[in-house]
Amino acid sequence: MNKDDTVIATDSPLDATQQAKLIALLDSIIPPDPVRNLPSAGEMDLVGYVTNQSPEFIVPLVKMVDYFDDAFVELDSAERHPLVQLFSEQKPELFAAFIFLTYACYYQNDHVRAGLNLAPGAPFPRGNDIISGDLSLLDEVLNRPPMYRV
Amino acid sequence: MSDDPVDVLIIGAGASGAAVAWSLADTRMRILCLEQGDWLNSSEYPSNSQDYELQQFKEFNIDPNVRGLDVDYPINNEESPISVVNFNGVGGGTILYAAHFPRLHPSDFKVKTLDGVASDWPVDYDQLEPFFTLNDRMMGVSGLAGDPAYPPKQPPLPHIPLGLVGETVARGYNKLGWHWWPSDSAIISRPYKGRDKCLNLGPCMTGCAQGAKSSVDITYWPEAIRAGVELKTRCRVREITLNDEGMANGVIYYDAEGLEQFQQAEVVVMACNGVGTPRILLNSKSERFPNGIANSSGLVGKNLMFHPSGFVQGIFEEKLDSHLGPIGCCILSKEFYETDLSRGFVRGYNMQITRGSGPVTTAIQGFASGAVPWGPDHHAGFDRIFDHTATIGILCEDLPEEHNTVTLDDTLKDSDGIPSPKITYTLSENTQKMLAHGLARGAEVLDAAGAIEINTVDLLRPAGWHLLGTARMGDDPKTSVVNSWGRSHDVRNLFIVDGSIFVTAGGLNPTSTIQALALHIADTMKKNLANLFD
Repeated sequence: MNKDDTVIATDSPLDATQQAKLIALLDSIIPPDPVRNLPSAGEMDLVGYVTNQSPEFIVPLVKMVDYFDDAFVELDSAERHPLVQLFSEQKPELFAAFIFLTYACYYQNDHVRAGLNLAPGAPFPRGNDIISGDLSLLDEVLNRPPMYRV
Repeated sequence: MSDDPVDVLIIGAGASGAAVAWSLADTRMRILCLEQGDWLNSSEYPSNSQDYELQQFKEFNIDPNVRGLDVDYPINNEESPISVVNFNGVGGGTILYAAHFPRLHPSDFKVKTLDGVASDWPVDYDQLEPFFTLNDRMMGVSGLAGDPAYPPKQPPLPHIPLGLVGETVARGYNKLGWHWWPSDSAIISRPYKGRDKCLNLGPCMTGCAQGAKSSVDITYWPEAIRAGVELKTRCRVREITLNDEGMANGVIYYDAEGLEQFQQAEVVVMACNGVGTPRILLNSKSERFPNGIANSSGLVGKNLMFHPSGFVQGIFEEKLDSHLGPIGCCILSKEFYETDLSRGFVRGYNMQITRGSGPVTTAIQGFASGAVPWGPDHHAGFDRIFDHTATIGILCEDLPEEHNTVTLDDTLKDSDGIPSPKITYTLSENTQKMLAHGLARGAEVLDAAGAIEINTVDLLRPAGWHLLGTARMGDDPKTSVVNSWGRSHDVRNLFIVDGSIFVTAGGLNPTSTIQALALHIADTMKKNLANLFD
């Protein structure tokens, strides 16, 4: 261990190499959708999200990132996919927890929601309009005799 | 009021406890309710915040074992394919329920006479009808008159919007010539009694921030408290005590500080649901009742009935705005509710059409089902189902069987050291056939409605909402725990008013009937005040 390794330069639990691998991994999970201007999952602050919402997952997250070689970031998406697939098969519970947090972080993001034509923020007090419904659809039912037994 | 004696002590502030408290309040008796949970604050419900969907997986989870709040008690479900779900707080299960609010049918009270199974109830639909109507007004129920599946009734408020989901599935039912109807919903579609109307937020099952969903903390309780009823929270009852004459004389409970207290009472009313009530009764052992109070029949905790459920989900090409509007209240079908033995089973089921989930839940559940994969196909998978689904829930009638039980667990306890309930339950062959039939018919409807893909989820495990039958009512003390007005055959100042007293379960959400029954019991108590214990 050299001296620099003991210096805490950031609050992030991941160093720069780990961060790059995490972004590459996240981009493999949810790639961007340029047509609708949807970002990739790598553009989300997953570490910040996990730190706030599920801090107990930080250690597993770091271990998961370390599973992948540093060269992982140099691969294109088609090359990364089978490596992530292999990990998902070897560590299904860890991978499922990672997906849960990634999807949760992603679909709460305002940019993502805007790309999906969803209003930002909490449902209340905004509310939603939906159609009351065409009650003429009930005409056939209304023509039925009583169905209940007494 | 400290721990001074009270006239009526109600245990549990949920659907039935609230209704009884309100009804009895006009007697001007001293009425106290003990509730183990807290008051809820609508400004703290999940739909006030962006992470509203995630809170259903944590502190607003329907499963007390997952929620794990200090006001919850753990439940041993290991010997049951269906796990108990509930909520402990003022409002009880109505805080997290979907508010789907059908009544039991007239035939549900006469299953022995009509179908030769189980037992008839000692009350019938006609006797309860005035209380159904009163309860609809008190709660604020939206619906549409004219349903041929019921005797005439008039909900006080117009129906909840069908939305594109309701219209689409209704067309499927019409193609098949099958019954459907807008659901009676305990959600106000218009301003009502100082509450504002539903905003179609969607996630009703984590509490209603708008206050449009009729949970009893905002319907019955404010009126009961104004009328003089006292409600104490964070009071967890351990046992009912007896005097030398064999009458209940109060309860021992733990207060908010965990200190043991005694509350003296002239009348004790149990309103803790079909698991919580037998738990306390069984834990109230004495020389007179070594197997639990009011249990000379041996039936306390037996005949547990759920509504075994599964669902069929259709994916549609067109956008249905599925995640908008009350998730559990849309339309229903009673096409297969009444017995037709040619189907291969007795009794029947309700088909409850539900809307879809928000984007986070859609993605997470879609990953689990394989519909929303990670990787290059992620967006296509998500787009295919989000806002493009309609779901039909199949809610089966469960017949009473003595081997389905609530007992006290030998080792599991709550934070006050009170033994936890243990559920022992098996699914009957009749119910299995019924569920299979319902799921197949649900798929037919969705196909007729134009679904491009149909997926089925067989028996749903966390579906033990409806906890019924564990202290059944009846005229014979040998075959029932309470009489036709909820009074214990054994202990004449002990009443039970929750779903425990159901004789049979019907095949639909029971809250409306639980409350009508509670109002009927309170009304009968009031009429018999002079000779209540005779």
